[in-house]
Amino acid sequence: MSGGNKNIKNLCDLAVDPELAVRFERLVLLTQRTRLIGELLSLDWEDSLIKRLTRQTFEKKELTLKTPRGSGFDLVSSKSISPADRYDLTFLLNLLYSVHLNPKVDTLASGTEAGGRYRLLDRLIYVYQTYQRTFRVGQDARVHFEKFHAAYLSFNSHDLGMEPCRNCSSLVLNFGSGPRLKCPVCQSHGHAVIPGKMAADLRIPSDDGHGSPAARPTELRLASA
Amino acid sequence: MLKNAWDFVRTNDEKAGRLIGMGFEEIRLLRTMEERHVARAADCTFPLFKFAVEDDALSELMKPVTAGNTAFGLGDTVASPAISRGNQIFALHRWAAVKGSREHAQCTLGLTDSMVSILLAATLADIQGLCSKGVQLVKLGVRPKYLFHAGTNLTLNRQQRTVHAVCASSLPM
Repeated sequence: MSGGNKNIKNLCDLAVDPELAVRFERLVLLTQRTRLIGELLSLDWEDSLIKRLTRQTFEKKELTLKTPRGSGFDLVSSKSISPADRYDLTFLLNLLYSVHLNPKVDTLASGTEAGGRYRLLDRLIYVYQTYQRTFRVGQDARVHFEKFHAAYLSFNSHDLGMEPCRNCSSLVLNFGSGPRLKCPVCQSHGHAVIPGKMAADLRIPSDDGHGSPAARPTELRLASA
Repeated sequence: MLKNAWDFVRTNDEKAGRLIGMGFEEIRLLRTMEERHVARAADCTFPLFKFAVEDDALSELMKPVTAGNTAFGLGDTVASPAISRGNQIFALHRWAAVKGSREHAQCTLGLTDSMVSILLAATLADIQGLCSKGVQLVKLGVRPKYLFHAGTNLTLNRQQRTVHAVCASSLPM
């Protein structure tokens, strides 16, 4: 089939599959990298067609399209994640895994059943949009969708891990090997450090100083201090 | 719902608090909290409560009461009105919410695939029947330290409390 005819066939496929059309539109608003769009939606389309449809989507929404350059992220490493990124990625991965995913069914690996693949993709899109809403960011977000996707892949391959913070009970992003890093949630929020003896019997000290002696405000110091 | 739970544990003993799905650690902490702490901890956009029952139990509880399965619930206790009120608010909200988006139901509300399917197939009568069985359907979804930090840290804004609630409620991975 010639390039032109193939494009016409692909456009027809898109027209008769509203679910694909909606998913395509939602995805291109988050990432404009043609390779990633094709990969996530399992499309064997020509790059020019994906680019054209991306441009049309942005025009329809009256948004400015900034075409990405370079090869993008494949995996994330300790060097590519700043402390601020770690805070955002902690939120994203916690939300993504708030209910266990079935790794055999819900996977983006090629050759897997389309249902599980699309279910996971919809979840990635939903989680990222929730991140944008919660942090009130748009295309200028600190962590781009590509980085989130790369972090998901790294987490799946155990290059990244999650471990609980003893002070605030958050599950925080950490690197599979290497030193234990400070909790980004405690750091960013300036949470008080709960002394070990108080953690076993957690209570809030009253204003008049009553309550557990271990819980006196004077004993709480800021995590960032 | 957090305010209702706080009201209940403050006016009842620890054992009664257990009946509304609270652990001892949460009960002790809630009892030391003041209303302003509770109001701050509840002020986030992520739900702090989740289903206390597993998929199979939820499916079983949806079935109408027959002669064979009448042994549900704890009977009449001091906690019965609080349980019933909490169940009604929670179950009706989850039932309505799953109709909107599966991803929202799973990622934000913490429902499993089977729970979503059960709730999608349920009618209003099924939900009312579920709530009337006297079973505690709700439990606190966040870990107690969330309540402590969100309640006492005056510098946090709603977005930060939401981030902390998300990070302190997901399952160990």
